[in-house]
Parts: sequence; structure tokens; C-alpha cells
Amino acid sequence: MADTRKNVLEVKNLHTCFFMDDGVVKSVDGVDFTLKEGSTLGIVGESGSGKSVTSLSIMGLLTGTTGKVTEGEILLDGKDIAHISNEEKRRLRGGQISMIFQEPMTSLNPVMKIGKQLTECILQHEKISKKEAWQKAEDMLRKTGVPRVERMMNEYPFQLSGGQRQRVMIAMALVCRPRILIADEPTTALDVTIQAQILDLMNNLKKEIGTSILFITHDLGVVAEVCDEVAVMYCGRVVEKADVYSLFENPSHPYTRGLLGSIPKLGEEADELEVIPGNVPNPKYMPKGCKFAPRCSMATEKCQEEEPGFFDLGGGHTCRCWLCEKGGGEK
Amino acid sequence: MLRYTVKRVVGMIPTLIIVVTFVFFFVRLIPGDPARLVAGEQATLQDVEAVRERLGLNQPVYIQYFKYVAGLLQGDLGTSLRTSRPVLTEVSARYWNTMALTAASLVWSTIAGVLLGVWSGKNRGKWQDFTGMTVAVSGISLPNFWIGFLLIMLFSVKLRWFPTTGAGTWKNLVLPAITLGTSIAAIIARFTRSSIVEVLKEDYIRTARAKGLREKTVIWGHAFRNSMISVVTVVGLQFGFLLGGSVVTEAVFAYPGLGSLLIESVNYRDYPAIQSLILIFSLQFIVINLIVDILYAALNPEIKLS
Amino acid sequence: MAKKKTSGSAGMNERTDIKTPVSEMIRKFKKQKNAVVALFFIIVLVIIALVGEYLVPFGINEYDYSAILQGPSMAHWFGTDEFGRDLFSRIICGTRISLAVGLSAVTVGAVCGTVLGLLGGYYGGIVDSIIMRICDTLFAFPGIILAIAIVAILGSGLGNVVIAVAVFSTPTFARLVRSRTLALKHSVFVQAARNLGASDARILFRHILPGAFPEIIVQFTMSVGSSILTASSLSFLGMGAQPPTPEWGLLLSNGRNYMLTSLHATLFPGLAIFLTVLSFNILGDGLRDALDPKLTD
Repeated sequence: MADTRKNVLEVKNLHTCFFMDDGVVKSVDGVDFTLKEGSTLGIVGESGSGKSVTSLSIMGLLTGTTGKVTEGEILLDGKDIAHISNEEKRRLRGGQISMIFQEPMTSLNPVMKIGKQLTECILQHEKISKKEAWQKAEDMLRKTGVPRVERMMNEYPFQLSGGQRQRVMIAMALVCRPRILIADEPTTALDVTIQAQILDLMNNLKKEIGTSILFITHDLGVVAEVCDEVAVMYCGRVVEKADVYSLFENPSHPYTRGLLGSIPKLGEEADELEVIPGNVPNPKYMPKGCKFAPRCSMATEKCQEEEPGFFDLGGGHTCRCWLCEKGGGEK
Repeated sequence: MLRYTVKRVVGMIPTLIIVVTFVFFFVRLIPGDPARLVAGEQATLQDVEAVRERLGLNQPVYIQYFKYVAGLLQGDLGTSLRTSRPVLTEVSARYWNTMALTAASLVWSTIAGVLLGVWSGKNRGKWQDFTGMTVAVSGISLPNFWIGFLLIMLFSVKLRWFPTTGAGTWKNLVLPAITLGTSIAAIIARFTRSSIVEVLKEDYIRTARAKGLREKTVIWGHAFRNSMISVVTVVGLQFGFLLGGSVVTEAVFAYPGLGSLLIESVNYRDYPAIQSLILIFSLQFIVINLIVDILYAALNPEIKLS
Repeated sequence: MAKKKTSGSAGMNERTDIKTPVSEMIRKFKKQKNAVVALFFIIVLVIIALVGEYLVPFGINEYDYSAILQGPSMAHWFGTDEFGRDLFSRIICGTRISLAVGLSAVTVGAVCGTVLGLLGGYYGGIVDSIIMRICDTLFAFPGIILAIAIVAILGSGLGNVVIAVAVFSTPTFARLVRSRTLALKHSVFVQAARNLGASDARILFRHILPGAFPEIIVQFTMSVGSSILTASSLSFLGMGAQPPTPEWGLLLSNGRNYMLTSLHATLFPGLAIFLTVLSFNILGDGLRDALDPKLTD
């Protein structure tokens, strides 16, 4: 599948570390991926896989934490944004890149009216009057399909339901028509029916506004619904990358297979869901070879000793597993 | 909001009743015969009986209690033993001096405390935080009578900027207000700091940053207002501290307020005056806490709108 | 997830060495250098309080009319007072008084408050209502006003100051312990103890009280500082220690008569109060931070 679309976001060899009292934790360890214009890239992994830290690194929201991008590049439309000043990063946030978070219940300021929270963002990035900004905010909010927009603009977050709040968050993130929207588990905290509505809404607005989406989730079911491409992350590394069809058709990394196995499938009669045994290893005690080897049922001695590189499986599908060695040459 | 206010005012009534009752029986705890105390050491038995009759001390306690409450409701605080004038007259002459002192102290200490607290909190773990919190912990450890003396030595004796004692002009207010406000400023700074630190961890702060807001807007527009909800309650509780501290401060500066009146009354064993002053201080404290409760609601939309 | 990263690896130390709460607390406490210094200073103060009396160069009531109101010198480090008494010796000997007053008042307050809090929290109902009502009433009086009221009833003197300070520190402990008791009452281990037939007294003192202990210690340390401050204020106002006791507040009050000529007579007693209270407050802060699970980094 040749793709001529422009790369909006390129992440190259990203390393992000957290500097703690008792040592350094490498949360993101050499991550590469590209996000094409108008498409949605899913980043999938368990908690602790480094997917959220990757998104915070892109947002430049690590300031104030002990985290820091130590190596690599983040290119937005070809320009590096990982090594610019905090002030420049701030100007990009909310304007060029915006983000919605997992917890709609706590992500809105409880003592500020919805209208103020929306217009504040516009006024920060665009030189327009308060009145125009208010109008713009109302229009955007209307697009998210919430009822009684005018009233809601004057309400406080506690007066809204979880789904409504997430719609407000989406409106807030898209109101400045950003190049990229990072959605960090935007539907995890919501009811299933609301989940589907929110995913629909994001898909529609993506087309309407022309934003590219980086969709971070642990849920492959959601990935199938919204993503064009997928990167599976484990222990701060991307372990498998493919377009969404190839990934579901031919999951190559045992970890990806494990993740797929733990989703119940309709129509298939399974007595038990497969689970991946064990937990994500403690970052202080990382295994030497393949990071997944201790939990992998197919691990060989080589897996324990040596970390695999990427193997190309064709059609842009790459996988970081020794099992794929026969399937193609090392990239 | 109105319902909330009414509920709070009504909720205050039991506390009021308890406080009044407590103060009434407080005087009866004093060892010895109150009539003898009033009549004086040299009084004859007849005189003492006459005083007992006059003060109604020969009546059953519950009647005395109701008479006391009825008197209070009519603004009768009894008669001072020291000056033989109504306590109300004594008190009202000095009430506004103390109010001016506490208000001035509260205003500057709130502003200073909040600024110091926010400055420390937003720079958590850095040198600003360490400096701010060292200043604050020193502030709560300073005996205010000592600060008073040092201020007098420096600003009144050496520099001659402010008078050492007295009341009436703003110049008289400066040094006592600094003295009285120091510890409160420090307490407010400590609470503001920890509250800001907590609030800055909240998800909505991350949202505000994700919007690309300036750090100043994030702090003052988003974190500050939320942290104030918890700080306000603390400021209210500290008002009691302020009223207590005014006793010491007024003694240092010979400032004619309720606090120095309390000391004079205690030294003179002027029980009606002591009784009334303790009542007034407590009432003041209760009323301030009521105001704080209402302010808390005004800051918190969830309560305001319900 | 980002939060988890910044706030330490609490949830994922499967393979790290297992830390007991106490050793963890000591480790965190040691990291706070100023709290360690404060603790050291308090230990020195306690030693001074115990043996200082035997080490001072002058007796506390050693009059010397040839050397009245002298400034600091080699002979009199902190100068002398209006009777020529050595201020350094008096302040050293005053350490015992201030510490004794502060510690005993808060101990009484803490014991009463803890018992009330345990009873109220554990039994609830009418017992709890009455206890909390009393606490609310005590809270309705500004602390030092209440102390002045109590001293006005009982008369001046250090013993009465101890009672007064104890009374107004009681409700703080009662509330603290009550809320911990309420939280622990329904915990699994207390339920288990009850199912095993443990008596109420045993549950309260062997299971719930230890759970509330860390908070009590922090509050205790903080209260000692403020109680020393209150007690010295009362002495300063003439309601506590009486002359010629070398109590710090009284020394300061005495010094103010000679303030214009002899600053040292107010400076040094004030400094003694300040440093003592400061070290208790810093120690309290350090203990609190060492205990607070929210402040892992």
C-alpha cells in the first residue's frame, strides 16, 4: 500500500527518561513512528509500556516532572519540536498539537465555566475578540453534538455527565484546528454506548477539520474501529508496526497475539480468554534480551540473551521478534 | 446559596447557646464567694448580703441563668467591678481598635501568605520552595511579643518612624499589625503551598497546560482559585489565633483594645468584664467562621448552585 | 501513567527489597537534613534541661549589684539583668521549665484527646456526639483566650498554665484520633480481630491505636512547639511563671522594662523561645513528610 500522504508527525529514536532519587527510569527507549496527514495512528500497549509518556513528550508536557527527552527527534511538519524552548512548546500546545485525556471527570477545572475554559484556549492562540472567541467556542461545542449549547457554556463541569465532559474536552482540543490531536485513552472511563458515540464523533471531526490523530489505548477493539495504522508498544519500545488490516490479519509479535487473544470475539466459542501471564517488568530490573521474553511462551534461549531488531514483513509491516527472522531480512 | 447561608446561620445557634452557657457557669467555677469578691475584702457580712441581693446571687442558678441570657439579649453585659461602669461601655470604647488591628493584620498576612505560598508551591522542591518554607516555619515559631519588641527597637526607637504605643492613627497600627500578622502569614503560606502543590497534580492543570496557556495563567487562573477553597477555611480557623494573639500584641504596644482590657480585667479579678470579653471573643470567632463558611460556598460552584 | 512514573515506583517494586513502614519512614526522615538537625538540637535541649543546672557558671538567683544590666561579655555571655543575675545561666536553667511545661501539657492533652477520640470513633452514637460537642465548644474559643480564662479561674502559676494548655490541645487530638478510628474500625484486620473474639479494649489499644500512632506523633511534636509558645506568652502576660523563676517568657517580660538600654535582656530569652519552638516545628514537618505517602519523591 503505497502512501503518498505527507508525514505530519515523525518520531525518531525517541528516548525519554525520568530522573528519580534512586536512579533513572527509561520510560521510552528508542521509539520510531510516523503519523500521516489525515490518518489515525493507534499506539497500543499495557500501562507501563511508555505510550502515555511518548504522548507527553510530544506535547512537551514533561516540564514540571522529572522526565526529559534525552535523545531522538520529534518532527512536526518536518520541524523538530523536541529541542525547542519551553515557550515555543507552549505556543504549539493547544494550537498545533492538542490532547484529550483519559479522565473526563477530572480533566476540566471544577470552578470555571465551560465557556471560559473553551474561549481561554482560543484567546491564547488567536488574535480575536472575546465575543468572536465565544461564538467560535459555541460553534465547536455544537459540532460535538451536545444539547443546549448556550446554556452549557455557562455551566460548571459538575453539572455535566461524563460523556458530555469528554465532548467538551474534544471541542476544547479541536477548537483551534490543530494539526495533530493526541487522544490518550479518551473512552476508557466511559460507558460502552457513550464510547462508541465519542469514537464516531472523533472520526467525523477528524475528517471535517483535517486533523491527524495519535490514538493511545490499551484496547485493540477500539483500535480496529478508529485507526488506520497501529504501533504496539512494550516496555518503552515499539514491538510491532503495521496498518490496521495487516495487524489484525497477521499479528506477528507474540505480545500482539496475546493482546488480541485477550479480547472476546463475537461468534467464537471460547471457554476461556487467553491472558498474557505475568506483569510488565519493573523498569529497574529490565530483562537483558527481548523485554517480552520472560512472559513469552515461545521464547528461546536467543530471546533471553539478545534483543531482536525490526524484521520487515512486507507492506510496511515490521516486527521486533526473533520468530520473524525467517520471514524477512533485518531492516 | 441563600438556603445554604440560612442553614449555616441556624446551625450556629446551638454553638452559641453552648458558649453562652459555658461562659455563665465559668464565673461560677471561681473559687470563693462571688458576692464577697464584689463587695471587697473589708466588707461586712451585711454588705456582702446586700451585694448578693443586688446581683441576684441568692436566687436559684437557673433563674440567674435566664436573667443573664435575658440581659445579654438586651445588650446588658453586667457592670465592671474595676470601673463600676457597664461592661458594654468599656467594651464598645475599645472594640473598634481591636477590629482595626485584626483586620489590618488579616489583610496583609493573607496577601503575603498567599503570595509566599504560591511562590513556594509552584517551585516545589527548588530553592524558592526551601526559602519560602524556611521563612514560614520561622514565622510560626516566633513569639509575637518578641517580634513586637524588636520592631519597637528598630522602627520606633532607632528610626523613629512609628510611635511605640497608643492607638488612633494608621501609624499606631503598623507595628502591632506586623507583629500580629506574622504567624498568620506564615500559617497561610504553609497551607497555600501544600494546597497549590496538591492542585498542580490535578488533571485539569494538565489540561490547562495542554491548551498552551502561559504558566502564569495556569497558576493564577486555574490552580489558585481551586487552592483557595481549602485555604479559606484555614484562614477562618486562624482568625481565632489572631484574636488570641491580639491579647499579647496589645499588651506589648499598650494598645487600647479588647485584649489589653482582658489582661487588665484578669489582673483586677474583674469577673463580669472577663466573662463578657471571653464571650465577645468567642462570638467574634463564631461569626468569622460563619463568614468563612459562606465564602467557601461562594468559591465552590457546586455548593453555590445547589 | 505519567503520574505513576513521576511519583515513584511504589506499585511495581516486586523485585525490590521489601521495606517495612518504619524503616521506610526512617529513610525518608533521614533525607530531610533540616529535620535531622532539629532533632539533634532538641536532644541537646533535653540534655541541657536535665543537667544544665549543674554546669552553669552562675546560680539563677545569684545577685551581683556591681554588675547590673551589663551587656554580653566574657564573664556574662548573654549579659546580666537588673539584679546583676547572669542571663546565660538563667536561660539555660529556663530550658527545663519550658520543655517540662510544653511536654507535660501536650502529653496530658494527647492522652485525654486520644482516649476521647478512640471512644467517640469506636462506639459512635451518643458517646461520640457528646465528645464531639465538647470539642466543638472548646474549638469555639480562641486557644489562648481559653487558656487565659482557665488561668483566671484557677489563678496564675505554671501548674495552671499546664492545665490550660492541656485543655485546649485536647480537642485537636480527639478529632485526629477519632477520624483515624473511624477509618480503621471497618478495616479487615480489626474485623478479623473482632471475629476472633478480641475484647473492645484490646481492639482499641492493640489494633486501632497503633494505626493512629504516626499521626499522633506528628501532632504531638507540632503541639509541643505551639504550647511552649503559648505558655511563654502567658508567663509574659504575668499569668504563668512568677518571679524569680527563670522562665523564658517571664525573662522577656522582665527585660522589656530595660529595653531601651539593654536590648540583650529581651533579645536572648526571645531567641531561646524562637529556636526551641522552631526546632519542634521543623521536626514535626519532617516527621509529617516522612509519613505522608503522597510525598514519595
